[in-house]
Amino acid sequence: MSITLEVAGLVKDFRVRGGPRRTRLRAVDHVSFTIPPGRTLGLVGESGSGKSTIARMITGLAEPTAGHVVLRDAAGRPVPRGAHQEHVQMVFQDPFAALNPFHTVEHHLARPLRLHRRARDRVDASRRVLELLDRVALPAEQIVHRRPHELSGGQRQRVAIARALAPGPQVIVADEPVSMLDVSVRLGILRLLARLQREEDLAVLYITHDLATARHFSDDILVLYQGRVVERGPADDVILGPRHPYTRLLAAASPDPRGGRRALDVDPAAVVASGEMGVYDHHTGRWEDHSGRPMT
Amino acid sequence: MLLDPQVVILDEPTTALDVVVQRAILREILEFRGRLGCAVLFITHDLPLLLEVSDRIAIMRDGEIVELAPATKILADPEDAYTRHLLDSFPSLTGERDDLIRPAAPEPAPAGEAAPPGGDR
Ligand SMILES: Nc1ncnc2c1ncn2[C@@H]1O[C@H](COP(=O)(O)OP(=O)(O)O)[C@@H](O)[C@H]1O
Ligand SMILES: [Mg+2]
Repeated sequence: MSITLEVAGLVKDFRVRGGPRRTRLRAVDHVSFTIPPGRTLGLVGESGSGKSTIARMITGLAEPTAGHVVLRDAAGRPVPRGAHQEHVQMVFQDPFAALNPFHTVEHHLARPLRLHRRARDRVDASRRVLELLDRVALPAEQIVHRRPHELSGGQRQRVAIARALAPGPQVIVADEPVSMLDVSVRLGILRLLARLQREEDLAVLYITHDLATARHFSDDILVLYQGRVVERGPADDVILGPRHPYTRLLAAASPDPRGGRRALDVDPAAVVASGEMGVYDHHTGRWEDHSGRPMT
Repeated sequence: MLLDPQVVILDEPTTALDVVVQRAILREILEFRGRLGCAVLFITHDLPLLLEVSDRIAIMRDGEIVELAPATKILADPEDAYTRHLLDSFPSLTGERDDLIRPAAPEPAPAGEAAPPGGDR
């Protein structure tokens, strides 16, 4: 089954203590996007821009203040709310924190298989655990009885990915999946996600603060600034021809040793002043408000 | 920089920061390096950043320096296999769109996911 992820008008407010009174912080401000099967959307922005809050609302870990998350099957019918968890799985930044130090690799994978009734019995579960490890290119027999601390960082993230695959999801939300890993193993993990995506026609939301991997891993990119989308479009258009001052600032500040030295031609003050510019959409070639209406 | 140092050692000073703040701090560092004429030892895993700001780069692995060369040479003509692997670990921001991550043609499963020389860690 193929699933399309649809996010419409998502808003998240947090109540925070600001001095004597509680104030409202709008962490996510009317964010909308669609990810069809087999496509990757890169969600980029600096820390605090609201990326993880969006991920948490998609995976049901947080309730939206407004807006909604819809999964549609190939016929366009919405999937019932109760079945979301089986279809949408998340890969987290820190695989060490995401895995239980007391449990073996086998336990981590067998549990979701049983929970989502993907294994008939104990023997079937064991067989499927080995299959899952195979799929994430880990030496199954060698590591199946190990605990998280007996694995390398890259291996731990592969186990976390195998666990995410266990329920048979059609949508993967990967929140900074390689940021905490050794640089030398990062691309291997992204390649793995790309291969699994191809094999299963997965819709993938790739959350990162790294523009370079976002460009190479994603079909489309969405740039988030203070909870708002400021630019969207095909990956190369957004990264090579950024229009919003904030995207330009991000691109200019990102290291690019092979690209030749670019001048940092963006004044951070222009970004602060850009608050009401809206979204530049490379697909339509115009500035829009958050509901897609052209701005004049 | 009150002490008028000869050498300043920076150990991952920008790793946890956003790129925009990183850039601002790097500017300051380069500015005081020029002003004080001191040497800077910049320690980081962020090779693209180092390639942009340093004169020479030493690549370390398991407690040993495997290659030490001018930054331009590390980029254009690396000698050590591990150095080459590290360089290949960073896709280019604005260069050619390569298929480092998503090959145009489907590749055979695990073979496409080569481990770094010496293993995954
Ligand atoms: N549970 C929470 N309570 C209050 N504020 C929160 C909570 N979670 C996130 N925030 C705030 O919301 C904003 C967005 O956070 P987050 O989604 O984690 O950003 P990102 O993942 O892009 O770094 C930040 O200002 C953060 O401090
Ligand atoms: Mg986050």
